[in-house]
Order: sequence, then C-alpha cells, then structure tokens
Amino acid sequence: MTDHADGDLAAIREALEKFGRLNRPLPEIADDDDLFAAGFTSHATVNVMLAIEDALAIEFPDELLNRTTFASITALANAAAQSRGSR
Amino acid sequence: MADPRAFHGWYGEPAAWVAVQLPGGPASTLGVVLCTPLGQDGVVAYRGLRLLADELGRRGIATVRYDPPGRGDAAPSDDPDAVFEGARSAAAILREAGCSRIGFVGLSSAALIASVAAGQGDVVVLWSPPSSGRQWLRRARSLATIMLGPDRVDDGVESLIGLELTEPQAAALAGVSLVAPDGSPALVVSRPNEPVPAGFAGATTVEVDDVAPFLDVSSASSVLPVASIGLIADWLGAQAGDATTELRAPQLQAELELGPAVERIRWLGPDRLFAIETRPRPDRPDAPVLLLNSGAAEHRVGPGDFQVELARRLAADGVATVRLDRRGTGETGTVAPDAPDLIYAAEWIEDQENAIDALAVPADRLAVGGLCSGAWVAAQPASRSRRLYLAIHPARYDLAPMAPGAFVDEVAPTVVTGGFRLWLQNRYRRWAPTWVRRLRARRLGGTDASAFLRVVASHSGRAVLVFSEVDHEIFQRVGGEELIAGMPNVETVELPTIDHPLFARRTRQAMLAEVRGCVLETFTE
Repeated sequence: MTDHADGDLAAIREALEKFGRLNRPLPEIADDDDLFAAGFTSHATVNVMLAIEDALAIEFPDELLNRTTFASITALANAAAQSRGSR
Repeated sequence: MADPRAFHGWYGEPAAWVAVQLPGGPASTLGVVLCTPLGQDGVVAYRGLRLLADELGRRGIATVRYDPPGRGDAAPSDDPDAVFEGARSAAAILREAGCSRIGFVGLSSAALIASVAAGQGDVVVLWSPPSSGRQWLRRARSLATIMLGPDRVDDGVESLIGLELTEPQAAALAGVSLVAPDGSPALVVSRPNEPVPAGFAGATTVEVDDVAPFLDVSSASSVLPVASIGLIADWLGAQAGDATTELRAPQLQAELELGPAVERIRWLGPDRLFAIETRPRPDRPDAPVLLLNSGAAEHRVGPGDFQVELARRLAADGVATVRLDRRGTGETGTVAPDAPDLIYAAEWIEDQENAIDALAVPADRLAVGGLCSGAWVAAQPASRSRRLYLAIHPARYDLAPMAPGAFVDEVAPTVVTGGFRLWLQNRYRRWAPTWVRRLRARRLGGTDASAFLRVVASHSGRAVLVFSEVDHEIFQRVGGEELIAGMPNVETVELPTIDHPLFARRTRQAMLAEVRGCVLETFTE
C-alpha cells in the first residue's frame, strides 16, 4: 500500500509532533524513516496511537499492536487504513 | 521544623501496607493520601512519591503512602474495589491521627483511585491523569500488547505492565469517570498536550514536562520530577493553611498474619536498610533464609509483586525470605534529587553484607539471590559463603563495581553536578539511540565471565542461573556455558521467554515454579 490520504499523513505527523518525543525534528523525518532509530519508545507509541485514533476516529485492532506498525510514518498510515477497513 | 516522624506497618482488614509521615512539629489539619499508581508505574514512581511526602512534611502536612489490599506488601485480596478501599483506609489513618481535612493525590492510574476515594470537600490533585478509566485501560492494554504480545490472558487473569487484573478488577477501573467532588479544591497537573478530564474542567490546571522522564522509563533511568513535586507541594501547602495541630501517632499493625506465613518490617545494619521479612507460621528457628535483591532500582516487591508472591509461597514451604530495599531504593535512607543511582555500585554490595550480618544466618541455611542487577549483587563474594546462589535473569558478569551514577549517567561528565547534571542526564536518556545504549551496556557488561563464575562456584554450595532467552544469549556470548563445564555445582536453566523484566504473569509464574523448586530441592537434600 503506497497511496495514503493526505489527511491521514497530516494527522500522523501531528500526533508524532505532540507525543512522539523523537530525537530529530519531525520535518527532517521522511515517511519511510525508522522511527525507533529516531528515539520512539513503547510509551510514546501508545500515546501517538491514541492521538491518531482520536484524530481519525478509528481504533487500531489488537493484531496491529506490534513494533512493525510503529516502525515508520508509512507503516502507521498503512495501519490507519487497515483499521478503517476493519471497522 | 523538627524531623518528621515516620511509621510503617499494616492497617485495616484486609490490611493495606502503609507508610505514614507526620510533621515533626505542629501540623496542618489537612492530611494527604498519596495514591499508589498501579503496576510498573507504581514501582517506578516509588521514590518520587516519597520525595513528595517529604516536601509536604516540610510544609506541615501529614501523608500516607500505601499498598492497597491485593497489591505490593498488603494482604492478598481480589476484591475489585480494594484499590479504592486502600485509599479510604489511608484517609482513615489520617483522620485518626487528628487531620480534619483530607487531600488525595493521584499520579497516572492513581488519578482514577483519587477521584473515586475523594468525597465532598476533599482536596484533589490529579497528576498526569487519564481522561477516564476506559481510556486508561485502553492505553495500558495497548502498551502491554505492544510489549508482551497479544497473548496476555492467563487463567482468566490479564497481564498489563507489571500488573495483573481479573475481569472484575478491569471493569471496576474502566468504569471510573473522573469527576471533581462538589466543593473540592482541585489541581490538575498535566503533560504537554494531555487533556484535562472533563469532570475537572473547573480545576486549577498546570502543564509540566517532567512526567515522561519520570514515569515512561525503567526505575534505573527514572528522573525525579522535582518541578512537579515542588509545584504540587506548594499548591497543597496553600490549601493547608497554618500548622497548629498536634497529630497523634497512628495505630498500625506491626505484623501481617497470612495463615501459613507472617510478615514483619526489619531495619537492618548501620544504614537501617528497610526490609520485609516473611517467615513460616508456625515459625521454625532453623528455617532456611533467602535474601532477595531486586532488579534495577526497584524496591522490595519486584515486578508485578513477584518477590512478594515468591516469599509468601516459600514461607508456606517452611523457608523464610528477606526482601531488601538497598540504599537509594524504597524506604531506605532519604530521597535526594541529585543523589546518583547505585546500580552495580559497591554500596549495594556493602548493603548486602550488612544485611547478612544483621540477619546472622549460618551459611548452610543461607540462600542469596536476585533479579538482573540484583543477581550481580548476590554474586559478590565479600567474606560470605552460602548454600545457594540464585540468579534470575543475570546480565552482567564483571564483578568489579561501577562508581555511583556510572550505570545511568553514562555520558554525563562526573565533574558536573547539580541541576546541569540532571539536565544532561535527561537529554541523554531521551536522545541517545537505543543501539548506542546497547553497545555501551555490552561494553560495561564485560566480556569475560570466568572470574564471576569462579567466585559463584567457590562461595556457593549450589549456584543456579535462570535465564530468559535473551539473557542466555548474553551468557553464551561471554562463554558462560563452556566455563561452567568444569563447575559441577553451577547449573543453568533457560525459560522459553524474552520477557527479561518479568512483566507478564506467565513468565512470573514459570519463574516462581523454577525458583521455588530450586530452593526446596537445595534445602531438603
């Protein structure tokens, strides 16, 4: 999956900006960059996930709650799309 | 003001474990209950809540910290309301002492507890609260699924991070709506971008940025949230008014009766190390004694109360256990924001030696063990031999102690102290990539385990090292399995898990069975 809604990507970036606690400025992070290499922690992943859920009115299903889902902005956008599809 | 008076013991039925601090001189009529966060949050926050209690004491305010029934050092209970009853019991202690007004402080999940326990007119402080019980549970379950995997329910009990919940317990917490009681002065201290619960819309609100470095990390790297603590203490001090009341000493139970076991508080050695001793009931003067060292900078209960459960099961088997708060942890000593951590430091070796001296247990009845860094402390020889050495998830095989602060400071220059040092530590903990930390940890861990294993073999009648898969890999990498080939009294066991911190119930239960079997086998040979 490569085409993501601009709204999803914007919501994900906003959630990362607010709750990601990354060690690099978000504008420097490309959609496919490794977020864990940028300091993403388990606690931060949950805060980001909850913010994305609020913003997009979705709920990540349990099977998506793993490290792969939070590996990059693209992975998060894929998970958001899947979550929307699973409702 | 005179030194505060501290009282420790048990209170109520089923009993909560409590730590009561009364101001040394005249006190305010306001007494404050510091509600305990659930699970690993409560372990990590322990010293921070102690510091808050000290700060409130300096402002003439009495406090109670506690473990509610069913958690930590309290009596067992599976009552879904026990976490709320624990807070009410703590308030009852303050009223009996002479406080006519009660305040509740709830950090993280404890905000749910504070909100439920507070009545009309009580003072309430919510510190990084969830927006509701349902939101807290959703967050805690998500974090647990990410960290432990989706298979988290075992025997009808759900594993969260360092916390077990039955379905009724989860439902009771999920059902909490955070609403300020009528007429209650309320303060909400939030993280950046964290919403204030709708039911506290009328509260005074403040945003702070020191919660994540305090709570969203391990106990080893947690940074005391000095700014938040000062802010909360000042606000409660303003609510308290003048200190003009003489408070009475609380009437606490000195022992906790548990049927086949009894628990009591001990203060061991010249540094008055706080410990809880669990002994068989009826007592056997010749009972073997297991001295347990916690992992990381955790206090005596261990992850998910693992050490409490182990001690109580062993007591039923006729074995006594002493769970120790080494310096810088739990109830031992004073809490100073700029004190260095003592992980892998000589001070903890000294603490263990002092505890063994104070317990005066002959070597043939002594077992010494610990989890992770506690296993390293337990391995230290000094002058003692022991019948059993028990290492749970050991990870470091260099016997040489580190300087205080070295393990956590890592890149912080030791010549820099005070506020700047804390700032620097903060930045490093937040910014250093995981791979840098791992690389450094590997270097600090040492690569030659031969001296370590020789000491363990020569000072112990039997030595058992129990590994998770990840710890065993490290052991193999340092040549451990080859080294013990010629050491018939050293055994290794690998449990099929990668859960090094023992966060999941399934891991803890497997470890309990392994350790219990090992202790019983050793002392019934």
